[in-house]
Formats: sequence, C-alpha cells, structure tokens
Amino acid sequence: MGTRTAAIGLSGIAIMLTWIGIAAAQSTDSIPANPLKQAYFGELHLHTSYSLDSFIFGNPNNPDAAYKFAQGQPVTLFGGETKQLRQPLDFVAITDHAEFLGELALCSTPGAAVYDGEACKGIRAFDMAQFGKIAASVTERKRRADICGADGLACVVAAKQTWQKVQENAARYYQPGKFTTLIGYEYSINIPGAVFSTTGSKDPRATVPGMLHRNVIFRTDHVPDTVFSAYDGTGEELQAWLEAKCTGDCRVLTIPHNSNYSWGRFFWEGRNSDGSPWTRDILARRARIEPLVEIFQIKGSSECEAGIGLADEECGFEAAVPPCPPGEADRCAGPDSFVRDAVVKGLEVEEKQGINPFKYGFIAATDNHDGTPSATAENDFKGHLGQQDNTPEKRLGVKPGAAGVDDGHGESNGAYLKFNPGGLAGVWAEKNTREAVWDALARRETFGTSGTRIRVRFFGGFDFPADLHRNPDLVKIGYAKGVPMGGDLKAAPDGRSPSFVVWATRDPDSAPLQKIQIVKGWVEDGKSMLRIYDVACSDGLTADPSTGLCPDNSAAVNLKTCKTDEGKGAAELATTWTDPSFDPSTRAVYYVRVFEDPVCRWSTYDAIRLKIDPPKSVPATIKERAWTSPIWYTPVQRG
Amino acid sequence: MRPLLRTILREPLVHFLVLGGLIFAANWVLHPPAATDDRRIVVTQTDVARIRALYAQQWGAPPDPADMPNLIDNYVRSEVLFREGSSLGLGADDSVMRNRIVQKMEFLLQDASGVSQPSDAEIAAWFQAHDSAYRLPEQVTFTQIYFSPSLRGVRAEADARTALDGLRAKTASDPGDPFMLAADPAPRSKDELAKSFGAGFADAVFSLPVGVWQGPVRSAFGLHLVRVEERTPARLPPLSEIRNRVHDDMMAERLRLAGEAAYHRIAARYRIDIDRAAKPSP
Repeated sequence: MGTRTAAIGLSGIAIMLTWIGIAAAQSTDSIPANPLKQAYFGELHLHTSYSLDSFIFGNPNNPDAAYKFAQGQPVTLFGGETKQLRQPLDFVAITDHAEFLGELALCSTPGAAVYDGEACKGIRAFDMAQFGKIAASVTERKRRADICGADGLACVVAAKQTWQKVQENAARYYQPGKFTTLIGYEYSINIPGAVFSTTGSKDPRATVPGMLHRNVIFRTDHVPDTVFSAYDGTGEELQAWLEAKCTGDCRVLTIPHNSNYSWGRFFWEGRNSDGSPWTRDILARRARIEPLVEIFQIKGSSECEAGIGLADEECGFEAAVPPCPPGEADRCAGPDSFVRDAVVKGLEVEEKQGINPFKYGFIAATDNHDGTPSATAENDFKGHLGQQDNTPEKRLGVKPGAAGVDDGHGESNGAYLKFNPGGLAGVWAEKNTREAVWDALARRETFGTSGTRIRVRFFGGFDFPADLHRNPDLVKIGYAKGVPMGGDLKAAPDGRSPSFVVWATRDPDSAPLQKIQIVKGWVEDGKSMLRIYDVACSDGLTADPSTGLCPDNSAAVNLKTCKTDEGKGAAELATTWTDPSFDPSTRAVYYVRVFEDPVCRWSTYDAIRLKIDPPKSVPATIKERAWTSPIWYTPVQRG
Repeated sequence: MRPLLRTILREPLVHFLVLGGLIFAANWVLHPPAATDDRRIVVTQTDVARIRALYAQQWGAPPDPADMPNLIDNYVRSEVLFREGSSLGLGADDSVMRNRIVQKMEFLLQDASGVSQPSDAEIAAWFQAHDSAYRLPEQVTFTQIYFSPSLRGVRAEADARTALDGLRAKTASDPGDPFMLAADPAPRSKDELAKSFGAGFADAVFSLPVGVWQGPVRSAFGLHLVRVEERTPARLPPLSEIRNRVHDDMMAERLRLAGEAAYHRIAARYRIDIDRAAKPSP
C-alpha cells in the first residue's frame, strides 16, 4: 500500500516537472536590432496570487494566468468577470511581494506543519484580519511565529523554493523578439508605526500604511538564490545586499514607487529612510542601482500634487493622498513625497555632494493585485483588488441599488474612489529581449503614461536645426547630434542654448492629443525653481505669450455617454524648442508631459453603469498623459 | 466557497508542493483504515521513510536523525487527533476542513488516474483534431510613407498624391514626414493593424495589391502611401513550430478529463437525489 501511493506521488512529480518545462537558454544575438529603437509597452509592477495580499483578496490568477493575459488571452477575475487586453503587451515583470512568498507557500501546502494552524486557515478563508496581522508583522519587521516558527526560518526556506518557481515561470513565457519576461519582485517595507487598519475608519490617513516600497528587476536569469524582504532590512540595506549578491552576469536595478505614500521619506534630503544621516556610500549606491522611479500607478500620481512644493495647475491629476497641514509630515503628502521636487532637489545635492541620488528616469505601472498586467482602460475598469473592488458599487462606495453616490457610506467607505486603473511603461529599445529592454531601463530611455499608448520621442542637443521636428531623419539626427530622454547634456558651447525636439503621437484607442509641455527645473540661490512651457498646442492654437500656456482647445466630453469630441485635438504634435532662459553655469533638468483631450474617468463609466450621477469627490473627466524621462544639463566644473 | 477551491486548484505552486501531502492523503482517501483498525495506529518503516521524505521535500534537506522521534510523535499525534475528531463528527460542518478534504480529493483524482505523457503520434493527432485553435490569421508586411496633417495642414493630401505620382514614375519625390510607428517591420494581422493604426486603415491595406505604391490611405495619425510587400495567407503553422504549446494544451485537457472520469467513477457509487422542485428562497 505504501509503495503504490508513493509511486503515484512520484509519477505526479515527473508529470509536473515535464509540464513545467525548462526553457533552454537561447542566444538573442540573431534577433534583428533596430538602431533607431522602437517603443515597447509593458508592465513593471504586478501582483498575482503568489502575493499574500492578492491571494487573500481572492484573486484567482497566478503567474501563468498573468503571463497569458499579457500575451492577449482572457482571464477570469474574482467574482467571475472576464477581462482581456485590447492589445497584448511587449514585456512584463511580475513583482510579487518578497515578504510573503514563504508564508503563502507553507499555508497552501497540505502537510506543512503550520497548514492547520489558525493563521493559515484564516488566510485560506480570505480572512482580512489575517492580512492585517501579516501587514503589521511587516511593519514590525518580525515574521509571524505562528507561521514561520520562532526563528522565522521555515518561511525563509520556503520563500527560496517559491523564488525558484518565479524564475521558472518567467523562463516559460519568454519569447525573445516577441515577448519579454523580466524576473523581479517587490520589496515592501512599511514605515514604522503605520499599521494596516481594517477598522473601516473614514479617515483615509488612518487606513493606509506609509510605504517605502521598491521593485527589484533583474536583467537576465542570472539572479541571487533568494529574495531580500522587509524582514531582512531597510531599503538602503536591500541595495547593499543586491550589490553584494548580484555580481558577475547578474545585473539589477530597483524602482521605488508610491513616494506619494512615503510621508516624505523617499526623497528626504540628508536622511535615509530610517532617519539616519546620509553617507557617501549609501548615496553613491542609490545613484548606481536606482535609475528609475514609478511616477504614476493605481494608488495615484507621484509626479506632483496641487498646492504642494513645485506644483502647477496640472498637478491635481489622480491625487490619492491629502496634502499635509502645516507642520505635519506623516500620513499626508508633502514636497519630499514627489518625484518632481526630488529631481530638482537632486541637482542641488549633486552640486554640494558630487552625487545625485535622485537622478530618476520615469516609468508608470499598475501595481494591480488581480494578476492582470496593464489593465489600464478607463472604460473597461473591473477593479484591481480582488473581492474588495470587483463591483461598481464597491468601487464607487455606494450601497447596491443606491440611487446616488453617497461617498463614505457604502461597503468600501469610498476608499477606492481615489484609485485609478494605473499606468503603462514605455521603453525605447533596439529589440524586444530581456537584455535590450533592461538596458533601456538602465539608461532611462523610458516614458510612462497614465494608461494609454501615447508614444513620445524627446532629444536634446546644442546642434539641432531649428526645424528638426519636420525632418524625416529626426530620430537619426537626434541620436547623432544629441541625447535621448534619460541622457545628459554637458558643457554648453559658447553662447549656445540647448534645443529639444519633442514628438508625440496619439493612442488610436483613446483621445487625440491636446498639448505638449516641457517642464524645466533648476536651483537658484539654494531654492528649487520650476518653469513650465507649453511648447506645442493642438487645433492651430499658439501659446499665450503672457502665460506661456496653450489656450483651452475646448474639447468636450458628454458625461451621459462619455462620447468625446473627435473634431478637437491632434493625431500628433511635434516641435523643436530652444530654452529661452538658459544659463550655462546652472544645472538644469527638463522633462516632457504630453496631454490628451479629456475622457471620462473610470468612476464616471461606473456611475453610468449604475445609472447614477458621477461621484462628486473626484473629477468626472481626466486628461490621460505621458511623462518622459528627463534630460539633464550639467555645466563643466570650474577650476 | 468555490472561489477558494478554484484559487488553490489553479495555483501551480500548490500543485507542485502538494505532492508530499498527497502521499498522506492517498493513504486516507484511497485506503481508509478498516473499521476494526479505528483504535490502532501502526507506524511502519514505510511510514517513517515517508515522513522523512516529506520533510526533505518541504525543507530542502533531510531531517536531523535526532529530530526523527519528534517528527514521528507529531505524525502519531495528528493521526490520533484526526481520527478522534472525525469520529466526533468534527469537520462535517467545518467549511475549512471540508474544503481541504475536497481539495485533496480533486488533486488525487487528477494525479491517481494515471495521466501519461502523450506520444509524438498522439500530439500530432490532437493537433489535427484541434487545428482551428492554432490557425494564424492572414498577415501583411508593408512599407509606408507618411504625410502629417499636423505638419502640412490641408496640403497633406495633395502632397501625398504628388509623391505617389513621383513614386510610380520612379522620379525623385517628397520623402514624407517622420512617422512614429514606422520602425516596426513585423508582419501583422488585420486585427493588430486596426488596433495600432485604426480600423479603416487596416481594411484598406488588406485590400491593396502587392508590390505597388497605393494611397493615400488614412489612419488614426494621418495619410500614408503604402506598398504591400508581402501577404501571408491565413495558415496553420507546422506542429514543429508550436509543439510546446500543443503539448501543454493537451496535458491540461488530459488532466481535466482524467479528473472528470475519476469523479464520475466515484460518483457512480453514490445515490444522488436532488429535489428539483425546490425553489430558491426569496
């Protein structure tokens, strides 16, 4: 009897191993390269049922489902709805939480010593209280003894096995030249004292933990043999660990996200995340390993926020965190929480210390917990948090059958109204392989969008012809005589100001383009400065010389049907722009924003589905947009 | 509780890690202890080997010999409590327990029913029988020259027509404007083309003859002169090109069918009465 059952088990293992399939390492050299590069779109931040939170939210989609979804196949969400991308993705990194890999493996393995414990039973029964306890254990940085044992070792060992599985999954779906899978994970440390609350409090600041989360993205399948989680150390320690472990053929970068929820600690001048003072080693390592930041995602925009720091009139977009009252920094948004303030402040840090720890290129992502990478469409939003927001009623915070939106009184307390379907990452790469896509990330030749497929080119140089944007060879000239987004301009020739060529095209699936802006930042007398130029307007309009802004093109949206005004806006916009107030002795940073004409926000589509008025606490329409990585100007050092 | 079950069943990690647990489960489910053995627990050398193997599989290394007595005690303890609990009827109305047993049964059904790897001939036969699922749509490769209404305004169309005449006469002609998507040389289906260029453009390009400049054709971006370089009719790729995918699909289907068959064999041993007249409560 024992022999027979054992034989069954072994044959099962054999089947599974074969079924998993080991993708043989293959050379990508034979795949043709396009030296002028092309835009690839993808996801760099996604959770599947391998993430304990996603699992508890009831998400049925594991990495297999997520990869298939990215390749264009439909998947079923919690609650039974089907979801499919309109266009397949070019690349995806599945970034499940490092923190819970081992816990979840033990709790879903019948026969594991803790399988029948209260904690595991609760997790398998989708008990949110168990999620609260796990989140608290991350905040306290002590693994749960009731799952991992007193020394935590059981979870460490189990996590290593799951990490192996993560690598196998990525190998199985990688199709060099067609579809790239990058191996990665999310490191998710929370700010001490901030505890996930399930009490249903209406104060959003009480229900969200402070986050200092980073995604870790590897170049190839040469990766360390395990993950580094919040239980193992701080973000600074993560980066030191990665540099120590990821050597030889291993290459890695980290991407911070939700700086809007970092309570000012991600870009805290002079201090590390734990409050200790910067050291040169830590700064230099951050500059080496962290070329990118996530500027936008489901939990809001981290570019800038109205009324805070270097904000402008477009900074009200998808703001998820309330601004800090005077004198407060915790559980609210202040200038040190935003990417724009950071990249400008970085210039000053570099001036003083010789290192710029905030030299960030930009990508956008979702951070979706339904295993559906880049499911970013406003008009087809079906939630991103499993059982928590799988119906329009839960997302809008209304009672089923309610006649009108009653923010704050529905099943979800309206907590999800401020969230959005998330953004998309764009890279300019020679081909669609792990190496080419990762190298584009590392050199910051990237852009992010609020979810649509806006494509945008951006070059800077001192020798551009004045009408470069009309030249059929603009890309070739851009690379030959200048630098692309993410690049550095140095040593302005005597009397010359830099020129920038910007060129953007619309997403045929979304609204036409409204305008292009160049955002310039610099530091003057120790003060961060900002100027925004509308450099290309649609509909034959030109920027008002007194404000520098394009007049409103008055593109309208019908809020009853969400139909847009197709007569307004442009299929593409392009210009060659020279900085009119360039000072060759001052460091400066330039990035581009491209705006679409307005479309309905997801919440308006949901309201139409429920036949109620759009919620009042969020805008009924949004302008989808793209952000390019900056181009930096550094003067030649004097003396 | 179906979502829970579905989640776990879809979890390959669980599929993989659960195999150790299956060995225990198989004992209980396929060979339940006889009634007279209810109060007798025998731990044989085979059981000890199994405990050791399970430990090694879960923790990546065999247990320290000094820990074996503890592991055996744990096994006996769980066996005692499981039997006692079962005889007390615990679990009958405990949804977690119930789900766990159902889940183990589902795994057992798929595993124990002896699903084998398909032979090459079987894969070929499956591929033939399901060829419609693997058929690739018609594709075109084309070269295009773009005329931007944003840059040229109303002149764009006239400029495009003049350039077309030049191309056809093989004289020097307007090189057109920079086009953002031009770098992509890959063959595309009508559906793919519609998504990136707009539906009207896709319809038009798929109706053009091969090898000659045509147009201007309107896309979501502007006007294009188009030369279709190659048209690949809808085709069935050879099995060698997609063998892995076919194999995976076939295995998934075999596991599913085997599980269903095993379920029906077991269900046949039960008498199942469903009161079809029952009305859902209001």
